[in-house]
Amino acid sequence: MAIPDTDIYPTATGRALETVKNHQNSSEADIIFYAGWFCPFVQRVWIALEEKGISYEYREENPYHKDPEFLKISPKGLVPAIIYQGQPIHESLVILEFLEEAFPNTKPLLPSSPYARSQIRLALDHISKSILPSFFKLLQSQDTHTQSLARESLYKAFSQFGEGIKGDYWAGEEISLADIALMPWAGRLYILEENREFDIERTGEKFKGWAQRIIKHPAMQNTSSEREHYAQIYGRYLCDEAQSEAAKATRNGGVIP
Amino acid sequence: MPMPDADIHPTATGRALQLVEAHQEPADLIFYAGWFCPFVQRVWIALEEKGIAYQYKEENPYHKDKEFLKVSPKGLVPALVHNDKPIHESLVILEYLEEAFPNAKPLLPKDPYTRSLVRLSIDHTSKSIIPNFFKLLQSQDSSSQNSALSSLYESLQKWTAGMLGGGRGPWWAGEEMTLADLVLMPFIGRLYILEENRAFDLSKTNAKFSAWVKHALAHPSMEQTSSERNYYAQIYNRYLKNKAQSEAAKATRSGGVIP
Repeated sequence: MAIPDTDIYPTATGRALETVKNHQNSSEADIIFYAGWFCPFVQRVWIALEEKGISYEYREENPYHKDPEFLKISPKGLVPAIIYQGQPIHESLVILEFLEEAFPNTKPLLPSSPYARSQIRLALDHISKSILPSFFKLLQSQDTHTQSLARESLYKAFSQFGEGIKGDYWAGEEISLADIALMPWAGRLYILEENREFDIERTGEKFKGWAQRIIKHPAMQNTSSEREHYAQIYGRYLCDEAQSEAAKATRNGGVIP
Repeated sequence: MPMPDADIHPTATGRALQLVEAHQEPADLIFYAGWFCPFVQRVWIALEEKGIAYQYKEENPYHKDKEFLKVSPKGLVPALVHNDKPIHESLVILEYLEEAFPNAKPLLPKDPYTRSLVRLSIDHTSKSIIPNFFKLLQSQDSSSQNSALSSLYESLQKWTAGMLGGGRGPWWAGEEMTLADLVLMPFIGRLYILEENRAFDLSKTNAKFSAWVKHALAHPSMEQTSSERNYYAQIYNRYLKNKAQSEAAKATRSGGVIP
């Protein structure tokens, strides 16, 4: 059986590679950004950094190497991780909240009203607890019965997200963390369409419209690599960011009928 | 057939009952609670710590009352309605309270980096400690129990290792209570169930953790939001037999996500 890391293309490609090349200057960077070019959780933070115009140095970090130096920065060896003023932070959602607080003069990705912020955080909670587990279960399940159950759950979860959409973006006219937290998976729906009979029509007009618009967003395109290189990775769940019981159960073999 | 858990004692008792009775006047903030629920207790402690005026409404989440579903779509507690706007999910509520009541006692540090460390601790509690807690509570055979117990000790060890200021305490972040303490405290208040039924032994954790536990359990807002132990027994006995019907219990059985 092939050693996993021989299958991962070592760098970003396409538009993402251009972005990586533009972010190699460490002397000006406010943030050091440890990334795996292929990882959807990384892409959340990458999009936020681009949207907010924060200066960052991009460092490719292969999570299979479990480099001891990197483990000091991110204890489980996971990407994304950042260093700010010499101090490390990991976990994509924690990093996103941090960027809002540490860079108050950049474009905000949360509205200012506490109530509106709470509704976005509820959307993030829905993404973490309902959407992503079903997405990964559908991706990783081997038998058609489990796939069918996961696919139905995913349609329902996407449709619920769709019901909350208030404009071009989830919260209205401005992009927010609610869009950013899910965009990377909107960009990976084609994998489910090609391999798991996913039919976006089943998610409802609102979600479908959002998904089709969001993948054209500049920050999405500028952080996406060429599709052929993602093909070697999907199904591997390399970033291992989601630690939900559903994700663990999926890794351990999931429900076998 | 009526859901077994729909028959729980209908009100708080002991110290918690006094607090409930003191919060019956209408207020801008309505707090929907289940007196027995650890996730509810998080928010209850926060409201007390911050001195926020609230009206306490007992809501049995197993009744799935239609009016309540408009406030909390999955019918779960805790939920609150503030100036007629509803919010649910304990962690979302806790962040909301920090932002909506900026003049109240803060439960997050000011500095963004330290706030991120508190949030990482909360993330660890959600992803490791709580699932292990429920797994241990609900496992029926000794092999699963042993494995869950080991995992629980390990996750508590990691939590302690993350304490700021070298863990000098008395709280996770040092001198002041933060959400890092608060999200775990209700579960610590239920450790006795694991001690009595699942061989959990606090002396197998470490001195810093034990000291934190002792301090947290004696803290006023913890005691004031706790009911009499014999009433909790009716609920936790169902978990111990793995027959509980809460969303958390169901998720633990199926290997799903605890809502």
